[in-house]
Formats: sequence, C-alpha cells, structure tokens
Amino acid sequence: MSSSPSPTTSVPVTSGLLCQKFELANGLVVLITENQIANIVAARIFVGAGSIREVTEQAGLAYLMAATLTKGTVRFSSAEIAEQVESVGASLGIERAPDYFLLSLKTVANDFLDILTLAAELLRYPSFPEPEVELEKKLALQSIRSQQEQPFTMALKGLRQSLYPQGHPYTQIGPGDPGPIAQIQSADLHQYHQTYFRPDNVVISLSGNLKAAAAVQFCQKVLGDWQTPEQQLPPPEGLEQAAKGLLSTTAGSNISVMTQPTQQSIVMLGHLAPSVQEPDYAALKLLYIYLCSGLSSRLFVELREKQGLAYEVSGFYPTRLGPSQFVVYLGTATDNTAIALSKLQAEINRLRQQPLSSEELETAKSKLLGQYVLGKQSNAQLAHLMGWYEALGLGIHYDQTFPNQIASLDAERVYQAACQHLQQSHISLVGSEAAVQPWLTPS
Amino acid sequence: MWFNHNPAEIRHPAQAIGSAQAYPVNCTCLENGLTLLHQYIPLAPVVTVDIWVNAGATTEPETIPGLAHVLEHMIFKGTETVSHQEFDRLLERQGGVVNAATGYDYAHFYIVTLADRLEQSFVQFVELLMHAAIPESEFMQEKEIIRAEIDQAYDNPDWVVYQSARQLLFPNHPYGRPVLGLPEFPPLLSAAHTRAFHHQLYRPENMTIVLVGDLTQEQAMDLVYKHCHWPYVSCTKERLTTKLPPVPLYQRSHHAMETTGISQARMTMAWLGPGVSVKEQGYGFDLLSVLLTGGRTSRLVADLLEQRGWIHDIHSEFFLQREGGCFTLSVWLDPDYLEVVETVICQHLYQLRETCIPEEELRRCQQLVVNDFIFGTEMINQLAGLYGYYSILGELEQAFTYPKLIQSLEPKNIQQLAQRYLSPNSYAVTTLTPPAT
Repeated sequence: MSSSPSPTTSVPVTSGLLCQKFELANGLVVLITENQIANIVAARIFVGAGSIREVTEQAGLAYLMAATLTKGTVRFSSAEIAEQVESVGASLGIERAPDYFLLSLKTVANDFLDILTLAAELLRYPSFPEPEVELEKKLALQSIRSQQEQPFTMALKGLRQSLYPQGHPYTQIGPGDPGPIAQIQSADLHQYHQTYFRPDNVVISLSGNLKAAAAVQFCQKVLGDWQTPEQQLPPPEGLEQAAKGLLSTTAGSNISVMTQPTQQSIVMLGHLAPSVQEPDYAALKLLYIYLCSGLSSRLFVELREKQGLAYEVSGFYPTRLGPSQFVVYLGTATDNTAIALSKLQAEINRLRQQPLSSEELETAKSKLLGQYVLGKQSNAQLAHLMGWYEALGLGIHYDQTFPNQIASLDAERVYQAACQHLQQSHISLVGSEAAVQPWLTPS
Repeated sequence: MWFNHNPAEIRHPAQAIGSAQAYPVNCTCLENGLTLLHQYIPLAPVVTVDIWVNAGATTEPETIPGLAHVLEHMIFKGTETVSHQEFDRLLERQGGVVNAATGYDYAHFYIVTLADRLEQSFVQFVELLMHAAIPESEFMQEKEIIRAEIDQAYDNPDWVVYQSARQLLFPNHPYGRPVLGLPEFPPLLSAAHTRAFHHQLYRPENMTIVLVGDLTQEQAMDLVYKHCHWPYVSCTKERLTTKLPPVPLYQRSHHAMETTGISQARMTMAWLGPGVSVKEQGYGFDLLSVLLTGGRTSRLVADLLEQRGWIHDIHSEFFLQREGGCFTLSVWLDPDYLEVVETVICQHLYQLRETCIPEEELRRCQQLVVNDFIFGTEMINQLAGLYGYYSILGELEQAFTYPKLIQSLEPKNIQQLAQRYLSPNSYAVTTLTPPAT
C-alpha cells in the first residue's frame, strides 16, 4: 500500500474549486480540479512538443504526429483504438499547437480510467503504421490545397509570411507547406516521438467528478514506470533557429497581396508582439480587448457601427512562448478596400498618439477580468487553462498573477507598450482583382 | 399576480442531463403568456438569459424574405429610453457577452454575465428586445452591414452548396431559402415593415425566457416579475403567411454548380425528415447521423475515408424543424469521385433499409449520441439553448427525456426510419466543382 500522494501546491480556480498539483517521481506533472457538479471528466494532456520543436526541413512533423498518433500502437490497431473510444461514447481529440502538443479527452466519470489507460498507451507506444502515415499525408496535402478556398486563411498566411522569417514555426497554418510534409516518413515520427514524448515533458490536467488521491494513484499506475531518458530535453529548435538568425529573412516587404474571386476583401494589419514571458504581455492583452472584444470595442463601434464598413471586424493576440502577433482585420465590400485599410491604420496609429483615457482603461480592465471569470465554466476550460499555464512554464499560480498584472496596469504603461510594439504594421490583403489592384502595381 | 401560483416543476431522472442532474428545472407560464424556464446551477458565478421568440424565417411575409434576420439586427439598435451603446458598454464592462441568432423556426437573443451584476443588464436587455425603435437612419446603415454578412456567406463554398441542396429539397417552402436573406434585398424591405413585424410577433405569449446559472428560483421569479410584465395582447393565432407543408421528393433532384477558387469538390445530399411533433422519430435521426458519419467506426467514414480513401471528409446533420426536418450528408472530395461516392452512399442507405443494424453497433451509437448530449449541455448557455429551442418548438419534454428516448431505440426503429425517410432514389443533391479544365 502506497500512502496518499500529497500535492506540491494548489490554487483556487473558481467558485470554491481547487486545482492541485502533483508530481510523479519520473517528472510527470498531474493537475487535478475536483468538480462534482456534473458526472463528467475532462482531461488535457500537454506534451512539450509542437511546431516550435520542429526543424524547418521537417515543418509539419508535429501536425502529422497528431494525425497518426491514434492510428496504431504496439498493442492495438487503428480500428481497435477507434472502437475502444467510440464504444463508450468518449471524445478523444489530438492536435498540435504552435507551442505544444495536446490530447483532449472527455468521458462520463465511470469510463474515465479506461480511456486514460488508452491515452497512456497512445502517448508511450505509438506505432505510426506506414499505410496510415501515407493516408494522413495525402489528407494533409489536400488540406493545404484547400486553404486557398478560405480568404481569411490566405490573408493570415500572407501576413505571417511578412511578419516572420521564412521557415519560422509561427508561419505555419494547418500542415504547413507541401514540400516538407511529402518527405516525412514513419521513422521521422518515431524519432520525434522518442525525443519529446517523455514524462518530464508531459502535464496531465484533469477536471471533473473524480477524487484527486485516487486519480494520482491511477496516473502513477499507468505512467509511473515511464522512464525519463538520460539525455537532456532539447530546447525548442524552431524558435532557436529564428532567434539565432539562422532563418533567412524575407525581402523585408511589409505588404502581402493576393487575388481571389471573392465578394469581399479581407484587410488585415499585423505587428510582431510580446511573448507571454515579456513584461508588456499584459498591456498588449489589454489593448487587444480594448480594440477588438465585443460590440462596445473600439473597432466594432468605429468601423462597423459608425462607418458600416464591415460585418466582421475583429482581431487576435495569441499567447505564445515566442514572438506573437497583434492582428486586426475586417471583411469589407470590394469598393471599400482602401478606406477600410486607412481606417484600420488610423485606429492603430491613434494608440500611439495618445494614451487611453482613464475611463477607457478602466472599462477595458473590467471587461478583461470579467471575461476571465466567464472563461472558467466547463471542466474542459478548467483543465485546459491550468494545464496550459503549467505546460508553458508559467505554473498554475499564473491564474492569479495574470489578473493582478492586468489590474495594476496604468495608462502610461499601456501607452508605452503601444508605442513600442505597434509601430511597424504589416499589411495583408485578399480580394478580387479589382479590389486589390492599387496594391498590385509596384509604386 | 402575473404568475400561476403553482409553477409546474419538471423533475427528471438524475442521469437525464449530465451537468444539471441535481438541479430541477422550473417551468412557469405567466399570466401574460410568457413561458419562463429556470434552473439553478452554481458551478461558476455566472448566469445566462436566453430569450426565444417564435419569429423565425418561416413567419416572414413571402414578399419580404430575410425580414426576420433584419429584425434580429435592428433589435440591437436601441429604444426610446436605452441606446444600444449604453447596453453594450454596461454588459461588456462586466465581461458579459450578448449575441443573437435567427433560424427558420425561431429567433433567439442571449446574454451571459456575472451573476451578481445581472439585474441592470437584464432590464436593458429586455427593453431592447420588446421596445426596439428601429429608426430609419440606423436601418439604412444596418442594411450595409447585413449586405456584408450575406457577401461573406456567399464567399463560403460549404454554405453555398448546403443552401442549394436545401432549395432543391424545399422548393416551395421558406425552409428552402437562406435565413440570412437573398443576395438582393426585396423592394418591400423597410424600417416600417420591420417595425410592424416586430410589433406583431414579439409578444409574451410568443416567447420563452430561459434563466440558467448561479441564480435561485426566487431571484429568477423576482427578476421576471419586476421586468417582464408586458401586457397580454389577445392575438389571433393567424399566421402572416399560409403555406403548404413540405413534401418529400419523388425522384433524385440534382443541381450542379461550378466556381473558381476551390480545389476540391463538394456534394451535399438532403432528405426530408419528420417534423418535431412526429413522436419518437426526430431524435432517431441523430442516431442515424452518428451511425453513418460519427467517428472512425461509423459506416461511411470507415468505408469511404479510411478504407477506400475516396473522400477527404464527410459530415451529416439532422435539423429538427417544426414542419419537417432536414437530414443532410455533406462530402468533400476530388471531383473525379463524385459519381461513385454518391452510388456508394446510396448502397449504404439501401442496406440500412434492407437489414436491421446489429445490436452492438446500435449500443455504440446510442452511447455516442447520449454522451454527445451530456457533453453538449455542460455549460449553462448550452442548457439554456436546449430548453429554449425545444420550448419554442412546443416539445419541451423532449429536452428532458432525450437520453432516455435515444436509449430506448431498437434496431427495427432505425430500419423503419430509413425505410420511411432515407430513399436511395429520391433525394436532393447539389455538387460544387472547380471549373472543368
């Protein structure tokens, strides 16, 4: 009989729920939020693998890994794995994000341990059968071809190619480029798996109707004998390559234009922006909320409500380990392409011309903090948020740090951040020939 | 008193709805005709208010298609006493969100916000909904935004092919046209007509208000008692339009479209399903949908994608609708495979009609559908949507008994459904391909 495991730390997450952190001897981290309100368990298993851990020549490797991880293990065939999951009505999803690799599970509580056992098998013993790898490569190549069907995706692709040096992991959309994908073999997947799928690079985050002690003991049972390799975990190669300037920078053009026979033009403005580890991260998050979040946001009011330029006007500033992107965009009628672009530029410039008023600042803070509470309603949200913080190296206490950082921002600080990071805009346009004509001819 | 004294309390079995098992749903009909549904769930300090109105695209005058959707936009343009900017600022400052959607059989409007700051937002929210001013100047400008929304939809090939299949399936019914409206605005579309439509349909007896979250029954009743005592207007149940119910197709009805800018073909096949009041049948289509395309073990995914490798993706969906549901199969594939894939799909349907599905396969599908339901009702806004939708369709009880209904299906029920509705010879099919080179 082993004694009850005790948490190394814990943090209150929402309405009386506590997230507890446990560490197994092999370095694997288990986070548990007991939540008895529904008879469900959600799990998010983060692996420190993803686009940032690919070398340029193998871009798309992690994508293909996500597509094939459930296609066979040493013990089970693809069909057997699907049968195990679907016969209990569980949901099992696998994706690779820029900064991490993620297995998502959801089951009714009684089925959870069976499915976690299967997940452990997938994590430890995937077999990447050759025919399955070939099928998924074919589908990946098709998915790349179909990107041209989505104007927004095309605009984003153009923007990222303008923002980042060629081959930077953050330029990838979907599977990335066809060249590297076509070259990847089963052996490459095994190699990537051996390098990054190791217990000290895994965070398991659970939320739902379970007991922490029993759940940790179960994780110990199915994952405790997973050995940590002797060699050190390599740093994120994709980011390192870029940081060391090993990737060739593009011609320095800060405008990307593509023609598509569409009704609407997509107009996008982007800026390189702080990573989550940089001091200005919170300030830029606040600026994003101010500009882009909801019907009362600056862009929505100015460009949609007052000027009627768009149905969809918004933006994003994703949380990233490496240099992120602060992007605003809208979809507008062909004839309005030029005016929409100049209005978007004016809104960005405005942030560098004057600080937010104290009313604007307080509203944006209050909005962001309220949304933060609203973002913790489901087991999947709770498991994801806490696991993500841990996997990014921020730790579960970041759940408290982040709101505090937001609350303590002042107008001057936010203004300085805008001046520094929103200086150099990159433009991406997708639209009909007539719409983007003025930007096609070199000036 | 606006309330009946003994609200009908619907208690349902503990396992019925996953996240809500321990908390009863209270159902009340106010004297003014408004239906109130409430459920106390204190997981997070958050509440959702979801208001459903029997004012979807099917209630539009034939001459003004798209009117219900236009009204949905104009609701958010303010009243005599509350400007919409004021409401947006108030709600969003708390972190709250507001949104709305129009369907064929409904329009609904919802907010999600922090429980301890609900009241003021609630007051303005219902004011906007009931007393929308629909001013002329705002109307003209909002038309441009709606135009942009429609343009965006027509830029989406998946949407285009789906709408086309619907049009073939429902040639003489509002279910066959886009809820968003047609590419050209009808000449009769005006602020005055929109106001008249609002006045006629946004009445308490035509509405359900759903409150779910960290709010006790007393608080919910109090809120609605104070702020929703709109007068009852005796309303003749006369409809704005008289239309014939949808009828099944008697042959394969095909439409082929081409467009530039796509690399793969699309095909959507559509069948007329049962309406909501046809007992014990609509939900059976959710099971059929999973059986055919729900996961790697499903029949069409296993055969067409995993084994033959003829398609890139496949998806099916059943839309429960008041007067006749819409079952669709949508496929993404290389244009060369269109014909042969359609044939294989029809063979699968033929097989469903000829032979009972194995017990084991049925169990797996039941488990998937029931769990999907449990997972899909974990959040308070999802629960509110479920109750509101079934309430406005007049079949609230189905929302509570759904998992049980699914579990009670037997192989012969599935076979009968396939025989009755899923003809391999008579259906609508639209294909969208890149231009032939």
